[in-house]
Amino acid sequence: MNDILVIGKIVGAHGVHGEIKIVPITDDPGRFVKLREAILLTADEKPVRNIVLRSCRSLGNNVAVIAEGIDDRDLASSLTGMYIAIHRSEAAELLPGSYFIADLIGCRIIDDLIGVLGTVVDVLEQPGADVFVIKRDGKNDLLVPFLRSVVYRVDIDSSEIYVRLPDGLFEIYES
Amino acid sequence: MSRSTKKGYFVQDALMKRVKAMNSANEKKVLKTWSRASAIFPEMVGHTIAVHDGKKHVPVYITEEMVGHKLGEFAPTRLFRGHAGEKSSKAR
Repeated sequence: MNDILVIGKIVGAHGVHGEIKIVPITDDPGRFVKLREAILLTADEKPVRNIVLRSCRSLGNNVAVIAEGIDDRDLASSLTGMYIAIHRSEAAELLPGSYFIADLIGCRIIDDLIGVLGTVVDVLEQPGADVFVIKRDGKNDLLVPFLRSVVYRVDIDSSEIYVRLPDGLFEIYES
Repeated sequence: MSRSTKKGYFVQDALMKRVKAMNSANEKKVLKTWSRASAIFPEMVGHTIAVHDGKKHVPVYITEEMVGHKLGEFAPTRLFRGHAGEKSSKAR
């Protein structure tokens, strides 16, 4: 389990006074308003330094923030491609039965009958229900819907998800 | 222009036949289909249908709220692969 969670990606500067334009990567974009301090990560997610946020405003689907020490457009532009992250202790509270997608990725999927199916490499957010993409050695990826009738136990601490696959699902991805 | 009400909703015959056969045998098995244009009928509720998105079959569990919509609506053909970030997921 990673100790820091990414909450936004810097996509450029906004205006000439050093505002940073951020695409939120969180269920609650409003959290930026309350945020006072964050961690700056490089494009390959290595921590650089902490930044203190002075103000934040909504910019359509994005947010524009003013950070201490960044007061012109060139400085703000130089951060393009970097990520804004927080410590897990400051993460938004999860609803009962919800999990961070970042925690689900990397979990082993175990079926009652078949055993270990593979590892979750992605979670597709679909209109009906989210779908786990499971990577298997030398085989096609297996897609398993995140439904209560299919997934009966999620153990984030041991990185394991226990499932009962519906009849015929496994065979679809075998061919 | 919307489809004539005289014709009713479209559903692929082969798909509907398989759903009805499963209902009469009282069994549930994931069905694989390429027919994204087929409408969701009440007979399909409770079944899981793997709908083709152009590349792979995406399992879609049919619920009552989906009746009247088309299967393709639940298996988008364009996929944005972004960072997982602080987004959460919940079993439905």
